[in-house]
Amino acid sequence: MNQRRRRYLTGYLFLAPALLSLAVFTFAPFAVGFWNSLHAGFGTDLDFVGFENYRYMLESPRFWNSLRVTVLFTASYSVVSIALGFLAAYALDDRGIRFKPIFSSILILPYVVTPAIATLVWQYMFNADFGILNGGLVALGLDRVAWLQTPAGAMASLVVVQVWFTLGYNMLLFASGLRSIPRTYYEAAEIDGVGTWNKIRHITLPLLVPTIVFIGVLSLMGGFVHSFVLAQILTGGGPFRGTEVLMLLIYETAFESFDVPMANAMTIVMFALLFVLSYLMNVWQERAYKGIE
Amino acid sequence: MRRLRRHGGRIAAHVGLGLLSLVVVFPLVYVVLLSFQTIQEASSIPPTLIPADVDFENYARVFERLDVVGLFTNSAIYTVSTTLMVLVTSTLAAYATTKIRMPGRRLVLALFVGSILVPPAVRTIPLYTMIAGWGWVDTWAGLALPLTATGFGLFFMNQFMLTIPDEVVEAARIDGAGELTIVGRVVVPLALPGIAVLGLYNFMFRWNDYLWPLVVTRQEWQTLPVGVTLFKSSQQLITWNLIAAAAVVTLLPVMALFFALRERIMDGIAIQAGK
Repeated sequence: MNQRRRRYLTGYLFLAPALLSLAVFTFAPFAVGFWNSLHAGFGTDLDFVGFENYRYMLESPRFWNSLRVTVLFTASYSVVSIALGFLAAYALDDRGIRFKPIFSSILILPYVVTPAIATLVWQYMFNADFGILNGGLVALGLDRVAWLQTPAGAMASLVVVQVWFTLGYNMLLFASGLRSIPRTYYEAAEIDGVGTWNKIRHITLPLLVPTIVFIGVLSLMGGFVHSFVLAQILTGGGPFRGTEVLMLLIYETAFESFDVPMANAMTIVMFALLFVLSYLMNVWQERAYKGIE
Repeated sequence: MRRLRRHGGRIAAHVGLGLLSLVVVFPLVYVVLLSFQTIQEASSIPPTLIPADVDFENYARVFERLDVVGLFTNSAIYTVSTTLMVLVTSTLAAYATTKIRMPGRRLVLALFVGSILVPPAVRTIPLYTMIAGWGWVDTWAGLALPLTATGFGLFFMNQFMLTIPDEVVEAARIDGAGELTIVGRVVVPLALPGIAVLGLYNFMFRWNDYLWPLVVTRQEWQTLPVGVTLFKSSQQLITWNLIAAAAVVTLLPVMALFFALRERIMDGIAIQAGK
């Protein structure tokens, strides 16, 4: 008994560094941030104002614009990246495909690459005058595109780069989902004369619901968080705030307008939003899954 | 007829995958080519693809104009120190939750999972508020200590340790070994594949970090991705060929790691999907 108690004590000691780190650097900041968001002022010269920052935020068109931009960005890139990732995984799942390791290694490369650095390279490629993308269009006899100069073009550019970053990762997640579907299901369907499209629709996709939801939650997080690097480096949020995503607005509020309490208020709202959305998606998954069984 | 259709589908799949791979790999090949171009080539219309001369002049020049060595050192210290700490905290914690099983471990596990529910970047401004209050801005402690334990690392190690049989630990206990000895002599050798994958991922994540180092460092502890990005925005006429050289230097460590341990990285993603 005594020995067991000593062992438990050792267990708590082993947990202590991890718990301390999480408590101090992950949980405490939200408490500090929330308390800070109830104030107004610079640095340590703060006045308590209650929920004034939140009220101001909800009345600010710039905040709502950033939410709209973030949602538009997240929805667009998720759909494209999930569709392409699925197609690539589906193509690679065929036993007759050669060079599998080469294809999958190349497609996963953007996941490994430093995002800020890759985004700089894309910025160079998007250049309206000497960029390779317009160079290619001109060589094909087409017109130049003002990639980063119009709000719609800038948003499309952001989506292209984000799809580039996430496509291979989604493909690998789909690939492991596809591997878990027994081949016998397909063989049985083939005997009944079911075509490719119907096999995908009635066997593959329903069985991939957990994978799709997992990727969906990741894409949602990625859209809110990863969009910062892209927007800050590629467009600076412009033109006309057309790509000013929420995380960039938070950053600018803290480090350009020096309104840290307001930035904290926005963070708390974003946190709540992500929490609720990922919770809802998990509930939806459970329902969808029950529907099949 | 059916065989013909299947054959056609396979050709289409090969062409599609080939084209997609070309498009995906292009920016990474292009940045290497760009790093050998002259500034005239880098800003020519139509754009230049293959540089006329291949020499390392751009690399030499960017090392003069930007403290690449200093930034690289900072990135290395940040990456290696946080990775070592994550491995220690995650291994010890996972051993406690899976092999000691003291009361309250379920609550602890729920905390670990809870901390991956929301991406770490969300805490940036609150964490900065706290770190700035302590006067830790632009210090190693301010930069690295917040990453001594991650929800991802704790959860990952926990799942891996579940695959190590309890009997091994029980046998060592009967032999009279202390818990710390068991971790060091018995569990760590068995958990080495998991520790390696987690180390690999953590190295990649931290080397590639941008937002947190951007926010919490100024001069002293600036990291390579932040330094290169600020170097670009500090220029009136952007020297894209020099930036490409600095970009290649930044990408080199993660690329080398990827090509050396490709299989492990891909397996790691499959594990994430399986959870």
